[in-house]
Amino acid sequence: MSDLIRRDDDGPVIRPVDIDAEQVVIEPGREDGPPVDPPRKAATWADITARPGPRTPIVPASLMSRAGRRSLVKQTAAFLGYELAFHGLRLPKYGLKVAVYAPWGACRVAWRTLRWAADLEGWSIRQDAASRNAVADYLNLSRQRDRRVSNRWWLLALAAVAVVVAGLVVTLAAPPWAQWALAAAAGLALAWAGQPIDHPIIDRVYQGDRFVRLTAALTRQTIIAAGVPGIKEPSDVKFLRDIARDGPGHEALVLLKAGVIATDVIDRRERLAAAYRLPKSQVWPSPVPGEHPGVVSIWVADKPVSEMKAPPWPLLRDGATFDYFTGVFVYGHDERMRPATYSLEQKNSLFAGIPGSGKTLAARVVLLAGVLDPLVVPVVFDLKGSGDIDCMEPLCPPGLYGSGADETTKEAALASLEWLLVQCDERAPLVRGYTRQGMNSVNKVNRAMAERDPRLRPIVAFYDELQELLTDPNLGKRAKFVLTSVVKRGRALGIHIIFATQRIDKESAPRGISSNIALRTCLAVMSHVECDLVLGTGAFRAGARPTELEPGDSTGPKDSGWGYRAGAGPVRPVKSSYVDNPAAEKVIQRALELRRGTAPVEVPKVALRNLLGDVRAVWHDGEEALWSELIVPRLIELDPDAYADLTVEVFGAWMAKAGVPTVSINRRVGDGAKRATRAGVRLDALEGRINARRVESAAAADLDDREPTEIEPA
Amino acid sequence: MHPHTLAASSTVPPGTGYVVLVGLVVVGGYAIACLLWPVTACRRCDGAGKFRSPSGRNWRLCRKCKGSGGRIRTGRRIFNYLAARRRDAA
Repeated sequence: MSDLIRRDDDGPVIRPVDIDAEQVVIEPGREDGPPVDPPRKAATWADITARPGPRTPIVPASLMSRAGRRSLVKQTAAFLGYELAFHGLRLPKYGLKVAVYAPWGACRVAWRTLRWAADLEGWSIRQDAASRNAVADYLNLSRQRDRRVSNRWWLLALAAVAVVVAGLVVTLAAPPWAQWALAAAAGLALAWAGQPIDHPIIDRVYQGDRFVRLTAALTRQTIIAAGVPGIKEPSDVKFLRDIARDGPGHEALVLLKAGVIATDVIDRRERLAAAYRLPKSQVWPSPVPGEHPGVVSIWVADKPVSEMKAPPWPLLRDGATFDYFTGVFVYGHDERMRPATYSLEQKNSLFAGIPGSGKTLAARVVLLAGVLDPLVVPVVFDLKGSGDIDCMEPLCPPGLYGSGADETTKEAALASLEWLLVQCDERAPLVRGYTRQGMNSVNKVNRAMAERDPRLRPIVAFYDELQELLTDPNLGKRAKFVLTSVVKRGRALGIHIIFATQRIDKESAPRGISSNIALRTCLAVMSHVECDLVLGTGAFRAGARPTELEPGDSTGPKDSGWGYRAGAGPVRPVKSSYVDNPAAEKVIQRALELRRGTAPVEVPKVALRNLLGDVRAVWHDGEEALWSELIVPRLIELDPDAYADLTVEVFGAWMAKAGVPTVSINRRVGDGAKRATRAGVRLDALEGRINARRVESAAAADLDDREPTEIEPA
Repeated sequence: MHPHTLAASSTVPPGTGYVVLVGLVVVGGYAIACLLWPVTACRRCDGAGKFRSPSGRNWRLCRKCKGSGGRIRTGRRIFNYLAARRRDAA
């Protein structure tokens, strides 16, 4: 950079002064100083009134191309041809119907005319007056009737004379074709008046999905009919632009009356759908990002979204890969079938929803995308043992995969969290070192580092049904503490954690954890409380309605997989791509192929054990200090699998990492043996560290329980 | 016994059938009048609603109909009374 401050839109403008750019030099005699950002030229009227942005083409774009015109003509011809053939075949039936309905229609018309002429509208109110013995009321009402009726009878008489004269003229003077045409027209009109509402003369051609053309008049009527408070007149509803096609449906951008906001309309989605005469899953009101809150977008789908064919997951394609650090993958689609993207770097993910909402499959999409980066190390724990993510097992390093609702799995999950915490400790100095060497401009893991040093390979850890661990009476507090720490520190160090939980409250999704997760997806939940806990306070008020999603069950998937997502732009409904088990297996196979040749990640089994606890467990009563060389055999006896390769040196290193460095201890061991000084552990140091850990996790848990927003009653 | 002989031997005088028929028509007509024209002229003032002095300059309202000039037919009154009782009982 030169020493000039550059504007992003222009050449060098301001020469830097010695002081901070936000400060201003006050000249003597001037109290306000020079203007900080003077305009470069005077604005003209044209500058202000210019309307940038796209303009509607003069000739519709679809008519500019030969193919567009042809398709329009073809479609119109096909439509008209079909209608003609359909109704042509049914003409005799229509004739019969007309013959039956016309006399009935004549009766109806006569009755309506008489009713009007005799003012039978007022019949019931006059009878009511008589029943109340109210003579004066009755007489007033009858005088009103008389006033009305006198003119009407005259009119009726004139009309009758006119009809009779016209009839005579037609029968005596008109040519036969005109007689037939008039008779047919009269018959049709009477039949139309006489048709029962459920059996119209003309049969329906289309039986398929209801397609309602979204028009401005219809939208106005609908919003008024939906009873949005403050909107009474059609003029209260205006439109920002013409109703246009958007994806497989139409979108109306509605400008509401001042004082009415988009969520007022969104709250009445059910009434809107009823007023449009459409199923609810075809009507999608939403706020418009970038517009003021008085603008609501109403998108009406051509058919229910659940019946639309969702685009397949792009990463299912052979050879598709993903880059953890810079990559963006398609997570699913929104109601308009637009792809919804997702990225992993420097973020964590939370999926919350009641059982059946599809959170495991949604989270699995993220996980599957993650493992398509050959550098990514997956860690997977399914604490319900449902088997949906069993396919991940071959990819996970030994010890970092678990599935089951039992204690062992929970302990293994906690151990993996502890390992992640140690990873945070180890990675931070490495990252700092590589950054100093110029591999990155900020203290963050990037691809170059991860490729150079396998210790910095990105980790994608998925914990399904995490509430099982967090609410465990023994492991819960420690788990919360470790998790909070990992969530806060891990994102810059190439650790992405995916949580899926079905219980959403302070216990199972503590604020310290959930508020540090960037990508939050709220699938079907029961109330606005959960919605706000997952998506952030105010999300429900801003229009997120995960409460309206229906979880899938044995009768169908329903809204399974649908959820509102925060953290990537405005909160919007998104459905995860559907990746079934065979497809997932294929992705795993590809991920294994990608990893062929690279060294598998070795996680020392010691790292997954609670070393301090184990040392305390093998301690015998009466020993206040113990040599490492005596502890190690006892540990090997305790868990031959994990501690098989343990040596005194390695033990010392692990103890130092766990916060209890070994010290020199002078002891005589056994009768007659010489006193000797060896490295060992002191009991008070060990217990001190264990207690300190317990206190810090308890403190973390306490911090977490405190609600910052709630005010305690005095 | 044969019904004809029963009729012949009963004490009903000849012509009763016509009387009953006429009675029914009259009652039916009155009922229709009670429905279609429930208000008729007041008996005291003959529907005028007021009485004038012989000179024609002074007048007073009819006390019976309070100036409306009409009254509810007795049949309708009875019907209203019965309907109200029926409504209250329900």
